[in-house]
Amino acid sequence: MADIEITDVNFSYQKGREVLHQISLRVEHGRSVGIIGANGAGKSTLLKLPVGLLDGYEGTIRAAGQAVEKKNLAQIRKKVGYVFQNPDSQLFLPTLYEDVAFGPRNYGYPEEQVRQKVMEVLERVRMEHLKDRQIYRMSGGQKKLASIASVLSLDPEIILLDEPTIALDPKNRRNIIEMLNGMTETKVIASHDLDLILDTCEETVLLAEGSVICRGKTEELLTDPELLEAYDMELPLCMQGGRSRFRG
Amino acid sequence: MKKPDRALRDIHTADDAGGNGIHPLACLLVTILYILAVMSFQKYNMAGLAGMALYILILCIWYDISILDMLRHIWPAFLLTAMIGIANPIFDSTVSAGTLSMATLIVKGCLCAAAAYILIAQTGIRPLCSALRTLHFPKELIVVLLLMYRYLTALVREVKQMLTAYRLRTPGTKGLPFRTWGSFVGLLLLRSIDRAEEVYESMQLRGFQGDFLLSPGSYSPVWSAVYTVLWGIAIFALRFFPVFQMAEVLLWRILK
Ligand SMILES: Nc1ncnc2c1ncn2[C@@H]1O[C@H](COP(=O)(O)OP(=O)(O)OP(=O)(O)O)[C@@H](O)[C@H]1O
Ligand SMILES: [Mg+2]
Repeated sequence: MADIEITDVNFSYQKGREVLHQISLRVEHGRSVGIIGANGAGKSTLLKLPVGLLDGYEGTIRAAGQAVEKKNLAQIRKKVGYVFQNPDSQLFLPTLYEDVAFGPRNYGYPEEQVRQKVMEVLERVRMEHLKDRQIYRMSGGQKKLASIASVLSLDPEIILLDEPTIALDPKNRRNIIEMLNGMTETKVIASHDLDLILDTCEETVLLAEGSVICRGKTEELLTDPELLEAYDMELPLCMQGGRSRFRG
Repeated sequence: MKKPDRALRDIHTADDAGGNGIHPLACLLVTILYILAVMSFQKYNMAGLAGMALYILILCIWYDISILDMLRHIWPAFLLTAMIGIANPIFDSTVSAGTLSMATLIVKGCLCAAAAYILIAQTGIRPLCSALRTLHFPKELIVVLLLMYRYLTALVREVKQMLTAYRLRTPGTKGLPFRTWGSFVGLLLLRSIDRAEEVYESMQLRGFQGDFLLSPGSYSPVWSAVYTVLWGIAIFALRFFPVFQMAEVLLWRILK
């Protein structure tokens, strides 16, 4: 069975303005799938559906083997992690340590295990040295890493990431990419950072105005300049070899 | 420091408080006792109320809480009680009695607000919520309390961002012109409600069910008990005995 199964889903925030039309998407266990598309294409909306953040959709959605319905949400959310596009939406405790520990504590892990888990996750995102830093004193990129850490601390089987590399400097961006590639969890990544998608996802789905335009191998999709241009995107930077950064 | 920054800092200081060895439940019980005692004073008993201020004073010194900061935070309580009490001089038996009863009302309001302020400074918001849960305070109300508190952070942060954005685009003007207030406030509410909603969603995604589990802090049961008992006795004494008069008499005796 697929880890995420979205079948013929329509969704609108307000009546009469459909944001997603007839979306179908299957993500098999252990795969990583990229979602690309212009601003407002519906990437964030699509990513919120499997964790039950939006209700009132038409069609069927299953995540981690269960239908996304109110009565299953607690179990689904234990297995499916979701990283918000805006880290300020996610981090709300005073210090980094506290925020990463929030999830494990809610699930009643003993404190010793919580501590271990937090330190392990902070090491993965290379932020151990910031563990007592107050979150409101952190930079944008640090917050982004922190929000990823706070989701990883629950050991999700499936992880949905909305713009994971936004606001990251090249070094931290590389860290995240390495980390993502080292993860065996099922991943769905929505991003404008096509280089990131190219580095981390085997398959990619192209969304435009709430519909799936096509789905295919990442290398094929992202090397098709006509296709990308038709949907307001450009080739990944690493493919734009011809255009030198140093003129002349 | 600019105002929004200061507010954010204050909120986060409240977050970080606690870990002083005294269990939040003990602090909460003492505060409730204190508020009940203050509220139960008669409306002309200003001398007795003045004695109750000792509690505030001692705790401020003990916890190193700036009295100025505290006054800055409790002035809404002052305004509110002043508004309620303003009719007293008119309707009470005599004008001076009315003025006195208005003054005691205001002092009562401020003392209670100060006690609540000190409580949060003492314990921090989360330990406080978990103490309320121990007292079987309904989950829903605690979540509301917590969210209001979170909402405050979101609100302040949005104010800060919007003010900065506004200033950058209007060099040379000072403050916010009156005509833009309407749209500013409207947008602000929408934005901060959105943000608070997302924060709540993210809490739910991470297994939050309304119980705020306390990280087993360094609370000492002995100190907590001592704290509760001593303050219990002190508040009782301040409430039922004219402590100041007795002290004065005692002092005179010793001096003689
Ligand atoms: N809370 C909301 N209420 C109403 N409409 C919304 C809401 N959130 C998003 N939309 C609309 O839904 C559409 C899709 O938004 P979504 O955030 O999913 O796009 P996106 O692909 O993630 O864009 P971006 O790349 O800018 O993050 C947009 O047209 C947006 O205006
Ligand atoms: Mg988005």
